[in-house]
This record gives sequence, C-alpha cells and structure tokens, in this order.
Amino acid sequence: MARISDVTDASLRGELTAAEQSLDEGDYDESVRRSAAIYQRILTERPDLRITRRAGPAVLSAINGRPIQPRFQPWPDNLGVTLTFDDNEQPLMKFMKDDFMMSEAITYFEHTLDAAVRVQEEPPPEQTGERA
Amino acid sequence: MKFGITFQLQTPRPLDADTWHDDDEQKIFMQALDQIELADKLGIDYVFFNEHHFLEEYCHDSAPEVVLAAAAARTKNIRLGHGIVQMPPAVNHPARVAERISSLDIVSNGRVEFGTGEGATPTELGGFNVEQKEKKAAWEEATRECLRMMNMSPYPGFEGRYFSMPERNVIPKPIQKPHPPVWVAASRRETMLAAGRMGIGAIGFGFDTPGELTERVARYYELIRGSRRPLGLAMNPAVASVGNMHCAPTNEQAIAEGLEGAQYFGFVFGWMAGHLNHGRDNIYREFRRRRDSEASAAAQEKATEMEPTDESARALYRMGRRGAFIGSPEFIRNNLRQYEEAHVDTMLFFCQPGGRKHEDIMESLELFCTKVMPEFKDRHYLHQKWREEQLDGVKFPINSSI
Repeated sequence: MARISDVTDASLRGELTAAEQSLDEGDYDESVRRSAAIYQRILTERPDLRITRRAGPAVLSAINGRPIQPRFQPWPDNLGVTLTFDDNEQPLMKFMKDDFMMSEAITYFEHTLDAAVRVQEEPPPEQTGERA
Repeated sequence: MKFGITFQLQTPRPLDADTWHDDDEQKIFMQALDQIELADKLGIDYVFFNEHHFLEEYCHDSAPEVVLAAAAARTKNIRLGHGIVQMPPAVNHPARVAERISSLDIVSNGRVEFGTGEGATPTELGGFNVEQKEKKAAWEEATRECLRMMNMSPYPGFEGRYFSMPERNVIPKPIQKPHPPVWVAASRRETMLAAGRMGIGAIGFGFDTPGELTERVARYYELIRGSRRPLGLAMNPAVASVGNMHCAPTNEQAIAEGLEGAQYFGFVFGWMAGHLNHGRDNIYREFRRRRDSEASAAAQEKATEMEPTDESARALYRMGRRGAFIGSPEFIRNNLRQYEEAHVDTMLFFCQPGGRKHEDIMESLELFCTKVMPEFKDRHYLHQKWREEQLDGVKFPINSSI
C-alpha cells in the first residue's frame, strides 16, 4: 500500500507531502489542486501509462491471445475534477467545481499517491525495449 | 475475528410468472427474521441490512430501519447494523436518520451499528435526483451533521451545501454515547483509506482477497493512528470484509445448494447497472436462460480467464463466484484463517442471495456456527491484543464493538 516515503523522486515526494499537509490542515481545495497537478504531471511525463478510455475496449490489444488490462485505476472523474486531453494529446485537469470536502480531497490524494508509486514499478518503454 | 450476516432481501421473480406472487416478498422478509433469530442464538455477532431503492429482485430491503426494529424485538445480543444508510439528504434527511438510529438504539438496548454510504447506482440516485458527482460530498456533510444531532442539545442548526435546518433538539438521543459506532461502505480502496483518515469503520464491499486486505488493514490502522479530523465525536477503528457464504457437510452439496445464488447475485447487480425496464423484466428468468444455454456456458468460460482490474468491475466479478466461503466446514475454515491472518476485524456473510432455500440457509448457519466459528471466537483475544497495539497513541475517544 502506497506511502509518501515509497516515492523515490524527491520533487514528486515534496509535492505529495505538500498535498497531504493541505489535507491535514483542512485546506481541502488546495489539496485537490495539488493532487490534480501531480497526477497531470505524472501523465505528462509518462504518456505510456494513460488509460485510453476514449478508445474504448478496442484499445486493449491482444498479445498471445490475452487482452492487456489497463495499469492504473481510472482517475475518479465523478468528484469534481475531470481528466481530459487537449488537441496535442496532453493531459488537462478540468475543475467542475471550486469547493471540495475532506472525503473528496482524501480520495484524490490517495489515488495520486498510488499512481506515483506505481509509476516507479513500471519502467518507461524505452528502458525495457517494449512497445507501449 | 467477529462474524456477521448481511441481507439484501433478494427476491427473484418466479420462473412461472411475469411478476411476484402475492406472498413472495413477505416470505423472504419473515424467513430473514427467522434466520436472524437463529443467528443470535448461535452467537453470530452482527446482522447488517443493506439499503437500496428500486433495484428489483436484487434488494427489496428499502426500509432497513423497519426490519432491524423487528429483528431487535426477536433477539437479545446480536448487534443490528445498517449496511448502509444512504446519506445524501435527498434520500434520507440527516435529522430523520438521527431520529431512526437513536430510536433503534433505544429499542435494541444499545446494539446499533451506524453504517453509512453515498449510494451507488444511477437507478437509485436518479430516483431521488441526486447527482453522481455530488454523492460523496453529500454523504460527508450529512453524516457529520447527523452525528452532531445525536449528541447536541440543542443542535444549533446548519446551512450547508446539501441541506439546511434551523436550531432544533433532535430527539430521542441514542443509548450509545456519543453515538453508535460509525461505518462507511468501502467497495473501493480509496474509500477504505479515507475511512482510516476519518476515524470510521470500513465495510469492504469489494469481496477483497486476504492478500489485498493484509495491505489495506495495515495502512488503514496507520491512518487511524495519524487521523487529525475524525468525522464523528468518537472513532470506530474497524475493518469488515464481505463474502458469499454457504456451509454444507461436503463441498459438492454446498455448491449444489449455494452457487446459483452467488451467480445470480452478480448477474442481477450487473443487470441493475445497465437495464432500466422498471417493473417489467423477469431478471431471474433471464439469468436462468443465459446460464443454461450452451453458448452462454462457453462465453462464461472464456470470460472467467481474467479478473477485471477496475475495482468496481472486479467486485461484481467476484460477487458472482464461489469464492472462499461456499463449501464444507473445512474449506471455509481454511480460507477464513487467511482472513484472520490479514487481521480483518469482522467477516460479514451474504447468506440469502437469489433463491437459496430457507431451510438450507438455516442448516448452513447451524453448521458454520458449530463447526467453523468457535476456533475463531476462541482466538479473538489475540486479535484484540494486536488491535490494542494498533490503537496505541490514538488521541480521540473510541466507540467500537470489535
């Protein structure tokens, strides 16, 4: 189970610490903004790990007859922050509201923290020689 | 480890008619009360009743406070849990929830477990015009205020995003102070972790495996220790996990009697998520048609190769399978030991899915409670010692039945 101390990238660890600090201080709006920014950064740096939901089930290409499952759980779109992609396929976080509750901020923080740790477990394709 | 049974009052339509016979629903309700009475006598610790609305065949328990009150009158020790109350105010106004929870706590002599939740399906939430993107926030606001209402005299009033009310004294007050133990439905990992940070119990409706729970329970208790802003006035550090259970002398008999109910459970829930032919579909008939067709069997075999990774889909997948608790006492016991090692506080069992026969359920309960449960009860003191270590340093009051 992910903890901030598991994150090896120092700047990412610092950003996550700040997001959690906002959470602990009761500034849930700021915590959500920070978590969303971190997640957007992760997907910008690692486009190979995006869940391409737009493409639908067809995106699950078959290797050796077995479908590939998405690596991440999808971003929780139904809590007020929506993940979109611009015309250059870059991730964008769209805020549908400005005020967030503790439970929403926790959900976004934990989701982002889990993603930050999973990113370390999935080396980029150029390092493994695999195609994404 | 403690044990509970949990009900949806599933009421499949009959095969020989388009809708239920006149007494079908009443039969299910009254049989459930008999099962609870037996469970209480056999030493089961909890009974939880779900709350769903408009989900035909899947759950006819739309007013759990009524059934729990009936159960209170027929039992002595078993704790009476809402698994859960749907807290968005458009479904249940928090003052009415406070009134009902407190009243049930009084008539049951302090045995209530206050499970809370956001609601799930568009069918239900849409029936009350609750927007999906607001349900978590609505849950939080309503639950926090409901707990204050149970404790404050008077309640000073509230101007919120999802409800408002002037100053009033919400009565009666519960026997358990400052309020009964609070839980939240946690089918997703993040919700369980949120429960830890908020100091409330987590009912894991994701049909989690022991491996998943080992990690989550450890992290949950870590977050409990670090909790800065509990949701209620007392914490309920507790993790419950759910499974489909049917116990019979042999695995073969358990599967013959119990597997169809589990398969139907998964089928009808999936049906509710996608089909909105209110009042018209015979879902049980459709389930049997698909299950019994050869093409369907081949498709099922292919589909069972891989468990979905999406948590909601995975819960649905596991809901409809044999899992760890449909079998002989030995089969169930061996699997339960893994959950015990994962330090789950409470296992909750669905015993009444689909058309599982009442007599079989009663025998299953008897067998489970006499041949499986005792060793876990005997060892529960070890779990409590472990739990004391986990809670060392917690600064907030605790009200928990674990």
